[in-house]
Amino acid sequence: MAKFYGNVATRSLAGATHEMTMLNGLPAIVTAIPGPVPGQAAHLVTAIALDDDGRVARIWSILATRKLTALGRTPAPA
Amino acid sequence: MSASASSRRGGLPREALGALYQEHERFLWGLCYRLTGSAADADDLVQATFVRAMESPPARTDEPWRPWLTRVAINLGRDLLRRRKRQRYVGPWLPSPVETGDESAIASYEPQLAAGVTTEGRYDMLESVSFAFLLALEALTPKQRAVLLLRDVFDYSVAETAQALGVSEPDVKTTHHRARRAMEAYDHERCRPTREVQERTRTVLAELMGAFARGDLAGAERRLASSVIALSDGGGEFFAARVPVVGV
Repeated sequence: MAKFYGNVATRSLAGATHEMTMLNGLPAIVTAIPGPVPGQAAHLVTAIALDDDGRVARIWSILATRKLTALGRTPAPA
Repeated sequence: MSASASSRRGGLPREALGALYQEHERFLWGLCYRLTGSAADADDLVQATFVRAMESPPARTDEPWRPWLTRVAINLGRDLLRRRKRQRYVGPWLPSPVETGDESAIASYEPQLAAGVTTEGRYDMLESVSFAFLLALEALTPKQRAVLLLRDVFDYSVAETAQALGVSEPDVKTTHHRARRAMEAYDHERCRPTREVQERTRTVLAELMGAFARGDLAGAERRLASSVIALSDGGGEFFAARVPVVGV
């Protein structure tokens, strides 16, 4: 998996911008890809969940356009 | 023209609908989002609920609207979930992300509780929008999801839940019991999004992304659990793994 994501990060996401934001209660990364090639998403969200030892137990990547419609809605002040 | 007079003629005035929308939209959106795990579906369901209110309002518009609106939204949501189950989804299905602000702040579109009132439900508002929780709900039937959300997140009583769903109280109790049983695996591994968990996640996520960006595979592997599972939802539109990727 590390090799797979390493390849994605260094090849497909070259030039992309990453912003960490609070999504669904936890920090997540919103990635914007400038000039995506056909079949490549312009935006994607990466979220993780940790196990009891603080290691990454789940990685969720969301690219589907209909899934990203709520991004950018202003959260309430703390 | 009063709302009740209008309803007798088969519709609700626009100004009355606007007031209803202001009062109930956030609650309905929060409920529909948790029910479907989809912000776009929640938008559609809330819109459809208010269209129903405008075109076919209840016989008694002088009574509180919340139970009627909740019942309509949940029924529409259950229909949507049943349709979704019949459709073939390309690759893993994941919930849609919503911004929740820093720390424990509840997003502006979330239902607001009265001052001084805190939810006593089993799951709080923030935990119940977490990816882990929304994914766990996928194991439940549409009816079980509705009952669990009303009882354990929105603090509805058995009687209120029965009224909202149009079922008997014994039916609510049985469905709730089964829903909780279906959530046992989630409850066992449950990790509430406390400030401490948020900080730990922020640190590990930054380290992991940094390691990937540098091509530091050993550094990335150190931060992954041996049983790590990665799921990608490209919705069939984009290049994405169509099966879970398991292991370091």
